[in-house]
Order: sequence, then C-alpha cells, then structure tokens
Amino acid sequence: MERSCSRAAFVRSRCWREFSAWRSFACRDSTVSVISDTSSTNLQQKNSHKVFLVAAELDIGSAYASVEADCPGTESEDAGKASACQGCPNQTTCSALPKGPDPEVGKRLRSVKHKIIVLSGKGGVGKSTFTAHLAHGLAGDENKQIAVLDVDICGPSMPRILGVEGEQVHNSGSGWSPVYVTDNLAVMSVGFLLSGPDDAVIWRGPKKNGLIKQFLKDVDWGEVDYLVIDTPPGTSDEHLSVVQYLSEANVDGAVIVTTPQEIALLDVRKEISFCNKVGLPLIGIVENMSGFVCPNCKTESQIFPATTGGGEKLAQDSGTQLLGKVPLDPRIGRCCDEGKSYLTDVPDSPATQAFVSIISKIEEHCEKLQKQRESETGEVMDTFHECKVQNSRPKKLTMSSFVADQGNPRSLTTQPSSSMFSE
Amino acid sequence: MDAPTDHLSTVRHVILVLSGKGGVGKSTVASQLALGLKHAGKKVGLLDVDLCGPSVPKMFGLEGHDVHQCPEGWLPVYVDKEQQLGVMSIGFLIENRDDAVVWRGPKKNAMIKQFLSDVVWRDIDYLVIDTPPGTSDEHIAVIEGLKAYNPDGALLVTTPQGVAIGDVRRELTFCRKTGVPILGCIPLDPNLAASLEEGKDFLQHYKASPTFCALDTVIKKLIQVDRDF
Repeated sequence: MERSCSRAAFVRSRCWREFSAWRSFACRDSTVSVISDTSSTNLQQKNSHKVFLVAAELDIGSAYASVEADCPGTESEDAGKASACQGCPNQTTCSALPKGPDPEVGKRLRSVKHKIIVLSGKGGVGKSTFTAHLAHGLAGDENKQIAVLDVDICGPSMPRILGVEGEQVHNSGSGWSPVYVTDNLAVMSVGFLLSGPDDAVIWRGPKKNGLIKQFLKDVDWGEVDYLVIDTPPGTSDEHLSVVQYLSEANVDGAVIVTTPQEIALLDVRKEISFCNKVGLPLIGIVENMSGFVCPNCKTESQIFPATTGGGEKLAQDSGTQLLGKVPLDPRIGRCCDEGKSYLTDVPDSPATQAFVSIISKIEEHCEKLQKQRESETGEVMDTFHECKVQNSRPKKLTMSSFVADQGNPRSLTTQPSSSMFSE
Repeated sequence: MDAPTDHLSTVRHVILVLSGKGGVGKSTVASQLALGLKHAGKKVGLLDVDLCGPSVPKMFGLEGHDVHQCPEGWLPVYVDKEQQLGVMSIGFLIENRDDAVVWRGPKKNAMIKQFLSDVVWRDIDYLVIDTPPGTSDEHIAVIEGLKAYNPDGALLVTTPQGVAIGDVRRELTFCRKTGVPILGCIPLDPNLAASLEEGKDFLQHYKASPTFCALDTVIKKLIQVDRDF
C-alpha cells in the first residue's frame, strides 16, 4: 500500500513537471514567434503572393531544428547541452539519448534474417491486416521463426488482430520477451504496455521515437527468419525513425499497401517518394479491397473504383511490381476482430489465394536478396548471434515500469495515460 | 501579422473531426459536413491538418489551386463563387502532388500553428477541422492552438468493426484528457467514394440515398447543438 502510494506520488510529480514544462514551452513559443518565422516550415513566397512549400525537405535527425534555429538536433553531440537547449522541454531526453546510429540495434537485429516494412501513406487500407496475414502465412512453415513489430504507437491494432489482446510483455536479462501467438510467431506492440483498451498514448514525436528505438534494441526476438514491421499511416516520425534506426541493419524492403481509388493513391504516391528519398527499396505493391463479390448474389462490385488505374498503374509508374490484388471479403474483417488467421479459417477463398501468392512472391524476393548479399560478402547468414540469458526470472513490463524499473533517463518516463494534459 | 489571434476570434463555431483509426472516413465526413453546413446557409471554413496525407483538395476537386497571400494573411481557397466555403490544406502548398511531406513533429506543429493563426477566414459561422489518424503531434498542436477559442466539440468517426472501435476508444480518451466535449459518434456507410473522387457535391446529387439522410441528420443535430450553446 505504502509502495503504491509513493509510486503514485512520483508519477504525479513527473506529470506535474511534464505539464509545467509544456506550459512554459507554450508560453515561450509566442514570445519567440516561431509562427511568423516562415523558414521554419520551409515556406517561401514566390511572385510576391503565392505561398508554397519548397518540395518537402527531409527532416532526419533534426527533430527540433524547426522550433529552435540553434537546436543542434537529437543526433548531435551537443544535444541537450547547447545554449539553445536551455529551457527546452526535451532537454533531458535529448541529452540522455545516445548519439549517432545505435550499434545496439544492429547487434540485436543480427539474429534477424529478413526485415520487411509494411507501409502506406493512407490510413485504413489494411496495413495491419496485411502484416498479420503475411506473418501468419510465413509462419505456416513450422521451421521458420516470424516476428511482428507494431510501431503504430497511437493506434496499435496488432494485439487484437493476432488475438493476443491483454497479454503482457516481460522483461528479463536478455531483453523484453515478445508475446507469442504460436510457437513460431512472436509479436511486440505498444498495446501490450497499456493498462486498458481505452488508454491513449498522447505523445509527441521524440517520445515515440524513443519507444521505437527501444523496441528495436531491447526486444529479445531470438533467432528470427522474418521480422515484419507494421507502421502507422503517414510519412513522419515513426517512419523516419524506423528507417533511420534500421539503416545499418540491411532492410530487405518495403511492401506498400493501397486501395484502388485515387484518394488513397494520392497518399500512397507520397509514401513511395518517401521511400525513394530515404533509400528504402520497394518489394512491391499490394492492392487491397479491390472488388467485392456479394456473398448472396455473387455479383462483383467495385466499392473503391480504380478511376486512375489502381495499384497496377502505380506499380508501373513507380518502377516496382504489383504483388497482387486482395478482394474485399467481410470474413477478413471478422477474422481480424476475432484475432484468427483468415488464411486457415477460410482456406479456399479467392482472397486467401491472393494472400498466398503475394506471400510467396515476397519470400522469393527476400531469398533472392539474401543470395545476392551472400555472394557479395561471402558470408553465410545462418550464423546467428547468440543471446545469453543472464537473468531468467521475467518481470512484467508496463508503461509505468519505465519509470520505476528501468531508472535510466532515456526510457520513457511518463505513463501515457497521464501525459501532457493531466493536471 | 501583429495580432495573429484575430482570425480565429471571428469564427463562431469550431468543430474537430477525429478518429484514432485511419481510413474510416474522417475527410469524407469533414467535407460532407462542410458542404451540408454550406447548404444550410452557413459560411464555412474547412481546415485540413493532415499534413502527410491531405485529401481534402481532391475531395472538392480543387487540386492544383494555389493559396494566395494578402496583407492580413493567407486566403483560403474557395469552393464557390459566393465564397461561402473556404478550404485550407497543405495540399495547396505542395508543388508536385507526389511530393511527400517528410516532417517530424515540431515542423508539423509549426505548420499547424501557422494554419491556425495566419489563415484569413473572415466572418465564418463554422470552422471544420479535419485531422490525421492518431493522438499525436498534430492533435496536440490543434488543441493547444484552439484552447483560447473554445472549440464546440469533436466529431468522432468510426467504422463498425472491433479493430477500428479500439482505436476510436483511445481517441475518446484523448478528448476527455484534453477537455474537448464530444458531440456524438456516427457510423458511416461508405457510398460516396465515387462523388469524392470526382470532387462532386454528394449532398446535392444524391438526395434520395440513405447516406444523405444520415449525413443530413448529423448536420441538423450539429446546428441544433450549436443553438443550444
């Protein structure tokens, strides 16, 4: 009882600090007049009255460059120590963050053969659904070990889709042990760290990045053949961080998920130019929700008409392959809600066939890449790096245990449920 | 530029359209809501703060339009000649439509602040704000920026499946935490994809459809709620 009280007091004081930091930050903003400084958002005026954006410039490693002109950037040696950092609410976070590409991420992921990132600029096109089924499909081979990492911090749906909602992550000497869906399918998501389904993670970018880094660095996957990373929609913090942290770790490539209609393609094209900019290779494009066959009358209708050529045209334009088209099937949605694998639940449907063919194409691609790499380096990738288990007694890991258990400053120090706005 | 607060103080009602989940129809609802309010004779502004995936320009058939600067600030792009419905989105600021806005949070925050402070909405009845999915930088920035103006509330959009509802529940928590009142939740039957692709006004073209009735009810409720305030 006494312990829980003292912890609550601690969290409260943390929150209070967070809140006052945020308040002072908000006040300071208005005096520093960040707003009127057009250079901060790369805005320029052309022909005296047309406002436009200088082709969206990449913002890697300068998380705060736009707020403070003198901000050294999170990757700099001076992060948190420069004069511009005085009074910045992220000063402690920045100064505690390790500088440069973290060798630990590379070390941890040496035991992972293939890394695939599932991306889409648009939300709700089926990234998580596809990720889950890609994982299920790959895990169909019992000799293969599959891992799924959900970096959608604000909307983690992997626990639900894989049917492991409410599970907990434990911390041991060798790292965080992921949640196992089957013997050869492991998953890690922020959803496991929340205390309830209503908990919102109201975090700004730097905190999200910190957690993603910890996911990549601290999760003890063991020997894994495929690591599939599910991302949130957009081209922002999470995406930059994943690519940045994995820059030393040989990512096989990105699978782009889209739906056929132009509204989605608009955003997906942006995601492809993001991939090109950061040098992330594309494995191919998956067109999801393409066509719907009514279960009663068997007529096919296009819910999202491909007015501009859909995924096929997109693949042509971006010089990559269309991996396949997955038709809409209400049973897919139902399986996701119930946390079952659609592939084994409805094995003979057209959508399952599409999934299977897409998955085998991805496997083929990855194996080809591996052979290429092996012939280039002369190294056989099967030599896994061994993880030594020092402490076998697992400890339960929750968001609040970031504060109490780890005690290191770069861990995320507030409960998501009581961040910024709690008073 | 000296008094950036002025532009929003002339706005009578501010409505946020939110959802934790992507692709549930936030932009669709936001644009139909704006059109519906316009048909009800109101002057409406629509602000798209989805910086990484702006879809509002496309939905109104306004792709390729430019934002112009006047002495007071930025002029929104108007959908109609009478200037009853003004739209502002980052889509208007990007030269090439395939360009990605690869920004981390702080840059997005600065952009949103600029949107909130510099856009000259003039004398509008409703400002509808369309947001990206999630509970992160954009959302915090918008709420921070709007605190002084008492936003009327948030409209949460969801689709019926459990996965989407999970995310929306998190968004509800966000609203409660940030003190934004919630006007109501509507499920939506997506029948208007085609008219959005072409940038047509769904509410005018498909008056007989059930989707129209659903949207119409929501809009009427909103107007009613605002009268009660």
